[in-house]
Amino acid sequence: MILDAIVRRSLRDRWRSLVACQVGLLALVTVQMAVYPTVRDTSTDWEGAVESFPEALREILRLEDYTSPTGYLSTELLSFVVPFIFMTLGATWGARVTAEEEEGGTADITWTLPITRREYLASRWTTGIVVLVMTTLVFTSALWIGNLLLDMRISIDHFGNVGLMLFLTGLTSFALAGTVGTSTGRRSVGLGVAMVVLITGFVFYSLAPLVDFFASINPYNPLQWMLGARPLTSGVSIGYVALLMTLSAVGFASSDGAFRGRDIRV
Amino acid sequence: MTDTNEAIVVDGLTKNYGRHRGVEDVTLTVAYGEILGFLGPNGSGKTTVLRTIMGLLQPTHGRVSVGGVPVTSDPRIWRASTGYLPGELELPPNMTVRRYLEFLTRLRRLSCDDEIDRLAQRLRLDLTARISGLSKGNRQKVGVVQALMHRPSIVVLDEPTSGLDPIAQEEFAQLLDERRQEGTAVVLSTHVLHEVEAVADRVVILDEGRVLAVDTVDRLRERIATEIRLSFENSVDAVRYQTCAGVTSVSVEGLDVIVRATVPHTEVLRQAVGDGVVKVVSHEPTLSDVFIALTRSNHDS
Repeated sequence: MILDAIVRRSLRDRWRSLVACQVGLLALVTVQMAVYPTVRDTSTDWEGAVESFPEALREILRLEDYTSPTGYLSTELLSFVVPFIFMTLGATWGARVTAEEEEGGTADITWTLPITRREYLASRWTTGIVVLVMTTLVFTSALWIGNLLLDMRISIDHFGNVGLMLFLTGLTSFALAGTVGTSTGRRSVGLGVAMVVLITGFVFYSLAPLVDFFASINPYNPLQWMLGARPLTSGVSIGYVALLMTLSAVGFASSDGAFRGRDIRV
Repeated sequence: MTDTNEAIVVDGLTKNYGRHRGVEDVTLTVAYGEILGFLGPNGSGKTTVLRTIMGLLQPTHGRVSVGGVPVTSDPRIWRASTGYLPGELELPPNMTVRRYLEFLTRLRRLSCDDEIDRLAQRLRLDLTARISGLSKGNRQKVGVVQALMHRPSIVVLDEPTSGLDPIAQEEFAQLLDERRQEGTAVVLSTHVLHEVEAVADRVVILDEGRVLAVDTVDRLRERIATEIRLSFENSVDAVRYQTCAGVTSVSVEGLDVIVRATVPHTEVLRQAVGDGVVKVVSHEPTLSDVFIALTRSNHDS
């Protein structure tokens, strides 16, 4: 059972940082969108410049179709920057799922109320999902409005694909940090482990076009599942979506098991 | 262990933290309508026992049940009737007192507005204040209110009067007494011995993770020897006092005989009257004396 009092309090406690994150994302989209007309109007120059790059670099930076609306947005926003924001957002909220109350010292009162630890955990996960959905909606809405204003003619279902992949990127990061944070009761450990795993995965993913070994393990790399799809151009990969959802579900189940079976730190 | 009047049953509780011992083989019960004082030096394991009773720690061995229900079972069943005040009280700073208490009552699926107002009035707590602006004593009052606002039948309090002013302490003692009369079981852990002495029906003394004694204050007093100075006009045969019941040592200072004996001192006094005693100076052992004597003897052994 989801405890709405926990969800509302969690959101209210962090509303300033949440608003700041949304404003930052809007600013990023606005700046990138504002630059696009210049890129479009000088497409011949850009195409020449891009062709001079090594193929591997073009692949890493997704430069194949840089001057088209979808190519531009994929390169500037979706190749790294925005997914990284969603990873950080997810990991930050995930790491504090239970550790926030534990480290803050308020756990002894909250967790001696007539609620189960699973109810508490589910409520905090719900909070994380609400935050990610809200951020996804803000970002994709901003993209869609920019698309209308700049006459980019990208269909709305592509923005739906972008939103889905970003949400799952954030959710998987949330699950990873949440599992470690909930198991240890330490926010810094949850966030630290999650970011190390995600950054390592990103390095492997980025270098896959250049290094055969990384290419061989790439199908098993969650960063490939998060970033490997091209939601604006080729849609989503059902396989990757399923893998990310499974990983998140495993994260919740592991957190639940670890949280129910351990002592609460003072 | 099946007495229906038993609110809390701790049976053979052992709790280890890795290789560290927390508490070992702790057994105790608390009945409804009883206040159990919980005493022990720092690090004796009091908080470990209380946190295990509240289900925050998992026992390494042994059983703990609250309201007849094992604490390992669904907490929605047994925690609805419990109130807990932790020893290291932390509250969310950016809420008002009332908002925080309302948040807790929502999680309890109750409405306790009237009782919150009543308790706040008695403890002189401003419900509109922000928690971040409260003094330590007023934060402690918030802790007390949240532990009692739903009128629980079992209350576990860890250092409840820490930081409270004397007026609030007095009010708190009255509150506890009223709740006891209504049938509430209370576990009261504190370092303020006279507080326990004043309100507790029985006392548990814990040291180095083990229970040294569980008894009423009066019976605990009987366990330790205290000094009685008997003054005579003429010298008396002090050796005869050695054979009196409860006497542990006898010494002579001029015309005075100094006897160390456990209470009651009936036989010693009868002997002294027979010898023509002119002055008796006796020191009734306090709970503090009992506590110090028992823990010191535990350390010595």
